[in-house]
Amino acid sequence: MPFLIHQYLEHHGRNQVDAEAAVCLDDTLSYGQLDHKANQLSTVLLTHLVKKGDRVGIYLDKCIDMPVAIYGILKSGAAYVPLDPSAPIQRLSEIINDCGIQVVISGNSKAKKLAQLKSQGHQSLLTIGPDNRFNLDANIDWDHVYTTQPDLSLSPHIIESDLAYIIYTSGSTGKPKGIMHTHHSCLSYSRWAATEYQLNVTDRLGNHSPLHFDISIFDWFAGVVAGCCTIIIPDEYTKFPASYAQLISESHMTVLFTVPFALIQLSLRGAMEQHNMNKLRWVIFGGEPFPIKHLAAIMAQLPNAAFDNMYGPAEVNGCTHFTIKHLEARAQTIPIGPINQISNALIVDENDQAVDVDSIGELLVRTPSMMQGYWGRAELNESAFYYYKPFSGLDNHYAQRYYRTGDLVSCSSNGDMWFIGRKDRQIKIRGYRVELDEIEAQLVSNDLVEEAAVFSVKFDDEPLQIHAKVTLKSACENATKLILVALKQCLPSYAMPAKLTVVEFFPRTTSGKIDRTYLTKLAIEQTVDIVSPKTKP
Amino acid sequence: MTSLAKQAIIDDLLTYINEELYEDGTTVDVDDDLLLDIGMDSLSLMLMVGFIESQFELSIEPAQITITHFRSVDIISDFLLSLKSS
Repeated sequence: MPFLIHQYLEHHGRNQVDAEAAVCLDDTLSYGQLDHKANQLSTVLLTHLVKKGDRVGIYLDKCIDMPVAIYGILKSGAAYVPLDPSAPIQRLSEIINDCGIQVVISGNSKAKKLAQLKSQGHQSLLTIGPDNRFNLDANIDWDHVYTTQPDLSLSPHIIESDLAYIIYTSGSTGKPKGIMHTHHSCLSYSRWAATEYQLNVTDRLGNHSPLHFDISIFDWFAGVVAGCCTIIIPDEYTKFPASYAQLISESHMTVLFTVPFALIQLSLRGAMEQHNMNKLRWVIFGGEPFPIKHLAAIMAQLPNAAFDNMYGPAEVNGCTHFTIKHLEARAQTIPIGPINQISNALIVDENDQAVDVDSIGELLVRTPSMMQGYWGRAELNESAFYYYKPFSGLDNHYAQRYYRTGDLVSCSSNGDMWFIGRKDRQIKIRGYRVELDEIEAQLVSNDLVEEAAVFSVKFDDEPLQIHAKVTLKSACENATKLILVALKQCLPSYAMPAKLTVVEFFPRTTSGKIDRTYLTKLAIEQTVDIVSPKTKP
Repeated sequence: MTSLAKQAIIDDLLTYINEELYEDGTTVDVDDDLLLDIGMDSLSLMLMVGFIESQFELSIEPAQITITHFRSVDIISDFLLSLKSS
């Protein structure tokens, strides 16, 4: 059995050489072509001083070169690091510095931003992808890669505990944190998912999620484990439900793993009745709770598909799931399901003592699909895990390591778990993890700002919104605009507050802290007048 | 007549996008690719469609809200003119 991710690609590259591996609109790669191109890229990387264990960035809009970048990097023994194509330069720069990226795989659409990056302290960054007409320093174009003779003798010895990828996510201190996964952790999840959803060579998986979002692991690796074809859904399609529905239909998609927000848009604005989506057999969703009213609507629109709620933070990958057989008429929510066959769960109180059935506690997960840890964050790695010692006298090295999810759940007597909320101030916006404390930290670092309060507002069925209020060090004209402009330089677009207001003072709790609960309540009351009419198309 | 009407639509749309939709300094021009150059997200698109419907007294069917019709302000204005004339 293969023990490295790319060995599955090599297997299919030999045994189903002409089968489609990836499709992006009019571009197609067979398994044979993908394997060959990944070998070419790996050869280029290894001849340009990339060594096993290095971190190589992928800075690409969704395109057919994406799987080549992923598998080329893995074959070189390096770990790939997705760089959000819509992130501001400052955030990209932080990630590049944090994990020491020296090579980035990219494309023409990113040439302008790469030039900016290089001129802002990353002169020596080697870029692979953009055409030479952009005159980027230290650049190799795709034409060079795709005319390179693969040299497999350069391939390093890789083992399953070697690093495969690092996904960066919001960090509460204001600094993004890198979640490290190995070939072993990635394959443990991918093999489980391929088996659980009975993926096979006839399946066509929709790749909705960008590469920096952990749902993409399913599309790129569970898909290749089973020899499926991955249909890349370009970002612009995810914003236009009617175009999205047409693509699902015309690409004969059979499996789609996405976020509730995208499915709600499809249901409301996808004109789905005009498209034949009968081939869709699995609609898997995760990342955030799905409002029942909208779930029921799309289930009625896609009666041939099975709907499945998958749960799992990026640190452990998917570790529970619940297939919805039918929706109870009065259901308020759906469970996240029981812990999967390859994992163990503990639900504990604040003293790490197991809670009773139906009681609420924090979910701790032990699984082979768990991350190795956070890149370069010793303190976080101390606090992120719980060590269960079945025998006295064991030190942490031999104890059972559980990841502390920070998610509050309860467990029914039949093993189904229910998501209740968070222990901290992490929220999900359209499936993306956002630490409200990170936004506050960024706001307070602005010279104009004295104090800041950031909180989330949910109004009926509208999507969750981030609101921010600040007090100023001294009066300033245009303060709101100046602060937003600065904030946009360091936060991804999904983490930007929908509303930022300058206030003279904050309401306080009796202990003197800013009363964010009161601010949230106030915002919801005001939302009725301000936001609702505007967001209703 | 048509070119004047088109320019009025473009002006209204650019004013809305640059002054109301984006308060963070983003500036959009008539030919900018709203999706690839500006990275407009789905919520902003929904808000823009809401604005178009009320500003130009039009009803846009979900099936018409596609990449083909909403790629840039210039393309949107052509689409709105075709809606008005139909």
